[in-house]
Amino acid sequence: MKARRISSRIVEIRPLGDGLARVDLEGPDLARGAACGCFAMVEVPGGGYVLPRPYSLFLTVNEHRVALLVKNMGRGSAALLASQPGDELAVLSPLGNEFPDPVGSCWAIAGGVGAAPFGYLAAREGVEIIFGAQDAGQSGFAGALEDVGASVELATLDGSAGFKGTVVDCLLARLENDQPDMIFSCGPTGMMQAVAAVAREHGIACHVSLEARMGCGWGVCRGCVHRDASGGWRCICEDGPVYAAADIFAAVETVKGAGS
Amino acid sequence: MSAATDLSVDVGGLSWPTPVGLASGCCGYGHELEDRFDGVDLGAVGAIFTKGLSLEPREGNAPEWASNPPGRITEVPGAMINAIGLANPGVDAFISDKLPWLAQWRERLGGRVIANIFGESVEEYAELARRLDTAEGVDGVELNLSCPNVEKGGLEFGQDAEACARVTAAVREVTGKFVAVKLSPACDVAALSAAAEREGAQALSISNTLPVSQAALALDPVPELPSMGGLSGPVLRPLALEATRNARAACSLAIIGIGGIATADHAREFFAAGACAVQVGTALFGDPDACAHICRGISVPV
Ligand SMILES: Cc1cc2nc3c(=O)[nH]c(=O)nc-3n(C[C@H](O)[C@H](O)[C@H](O)COP(=O)(O)OP(=O)(O)OC[C@H]3O[C@@H](n4cnc5c(N)ncnc54)[C@H](O)[C@@H]3O)c2cc1C
Ligand SMILES: Cc1cc2nc3c(=O)[nH]c(=O)nc-3n(C[C@H](O)[C@H](O)[C@H](O)COP(=O)(O)O)c2cc1C
Ligand code: FES
Repeated sequence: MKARRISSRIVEIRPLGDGLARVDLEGPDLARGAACGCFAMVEVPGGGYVLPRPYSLFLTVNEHRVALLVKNMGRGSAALLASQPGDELAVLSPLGNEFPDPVGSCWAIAGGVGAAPFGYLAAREGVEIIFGAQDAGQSGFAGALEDVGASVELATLDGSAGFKGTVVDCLLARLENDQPDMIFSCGPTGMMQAVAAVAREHGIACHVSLEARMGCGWGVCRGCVHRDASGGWRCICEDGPVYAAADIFAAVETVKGAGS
Repeated sequence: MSAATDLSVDVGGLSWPTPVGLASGCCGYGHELEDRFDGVDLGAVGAIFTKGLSLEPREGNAPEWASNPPGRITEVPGAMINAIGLANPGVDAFISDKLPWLAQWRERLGGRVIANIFGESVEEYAELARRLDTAEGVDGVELNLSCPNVEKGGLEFGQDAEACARVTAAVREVTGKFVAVKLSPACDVAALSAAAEREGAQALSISNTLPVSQAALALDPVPELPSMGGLSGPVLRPLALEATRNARAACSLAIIGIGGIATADHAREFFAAGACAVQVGTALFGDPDACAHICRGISVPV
């Protein structure tokens, strides 16, 4: 599906604690082509910003309305979170590829803003989300996922809510009793490498969604490069952000990642 | 574009269907606009300046300077900084893989195709121009002089009027096609413009990105920023306008204005400073249809 530049506006910003919010946007046919894993390049409202910012699509509310999960990471995301319903912004969407359709049971392992794509799988039979956060205060995206019907296991580093430890610890603990047919992962690269290593050891098909700083999001600036498993560079906005883990993380790298 | 207004313009002997082109490094090889988007008006594009081409393929810079997450681009107030490192598939792969789309676009809508080239020696520039001279569908070359001149110990060609003259002359000798010389906003514009004119260039592209360091930006050290990069976007506009005025005073070549152009008013500022056409770079990232938006604006008299 080709993207369009869509004149949109903010309809609602629902705070989720600690610099986190669900941001709903509306524009003509804004949800057309939206799917799990794809992203939008979102103009920072208010003027004065140069580059659009990449955000995963979290949810299709209706054909003209989508939701994002936004974390305050700097100037642009802060301005987006400080905007008001009615503020106008241009959105390039949908960009990037999608996670494959989950078959059988699927565990989606998410860290931080990596929760966003899995809104699209929230109501899917057989999908469980394991979400990792620093502490209970950072767990707002887990609540946003539950609100749309997801089954979420929360892991916090300090144990202030849910499982105590990283999502990878949580994944390993769960694998002692059970094993899914597929693993999806989105979050910090180190986390995804570790998840991919665990999946490889257990012979579970694994897909990851990568992150990079982006200029354009549509393949022309060559800014969003990432090494693949054979040492070449890919622009993740061009043939990603979703990859089979084995294509993007070299085996030795994933084993190393598992130990860290 | 609607057929109502004729916006065509002569740029150094080459006629463009509109005065708004796409800047090198910001539009890939053109086909991305068609492949990735519905609703981008490719008829509003006066000329496509390709990503910079070298003789051999180049991977570009390691994105290590922004390790979390990796990348080669960042935004600072009023501008962006890139440290792409001139990643490109090389001139031969360009001709076999990228040129066919550009050639059919040119045939279909009349826009011009200019190959942006860079080398590390005068001979490399000449060899690139020679290979592109016989390539059907290429209207000319734009010389990016921002590459280090290895023979001169790394000083950029674009900092030295004598080196600029030698590159321009060597390229002129091997091609009868259109030649534009692309200048840095931080060079002796008058001297380089005069040198380019003397050696037979048809046009000047003003300007390239401004080389900056974190120190020059007087920002607190930010680990994600590259130590050196090229600054583009709104902050560049006054500098490029000033360079355009200086070049206008120093020579009579056609000038293509570039730098922070996002609206028809911005384009008009460059026309007033002496440019006859413009290119849009950074603004395309958020608005792939920027040429159409700008053309619509300039076809309405102020
Ligand atoms: C495909 C993709 C999907 C994304 N989806 C989401 C999402 O659903 N929700 C969400 O909150 N964020 C998401 N991000 C990250 C989001 O784009 C960045 O947080 C945002 O661009 C930061 O902008 P800023 O102006 O606030 O930060 P800046 O002021 O530019 O930088 C502040 C900090 O943000 C981090 N940062 C900058 N750019 C990025 C980037 N592209 N990716 C990650 N971190 C970055 C840097 O580490 C930096 O320290 C996604 C990124 C990508 C590439
Ligand atoms: C990501 C990026 C890549 C670029 N690559 C090239 C290049 O390969 N060759 C070149 O001559 N200029 C290159 N430029 C410079 C642009 O063509 C243009 O001169 C500059 O960005 C100023 O215009 P702007 O402010 O509209 O972006 C690049 C700029 C950007 C932002
Ligand atoms: S963000 Fe520009 S090429 Fe990927």
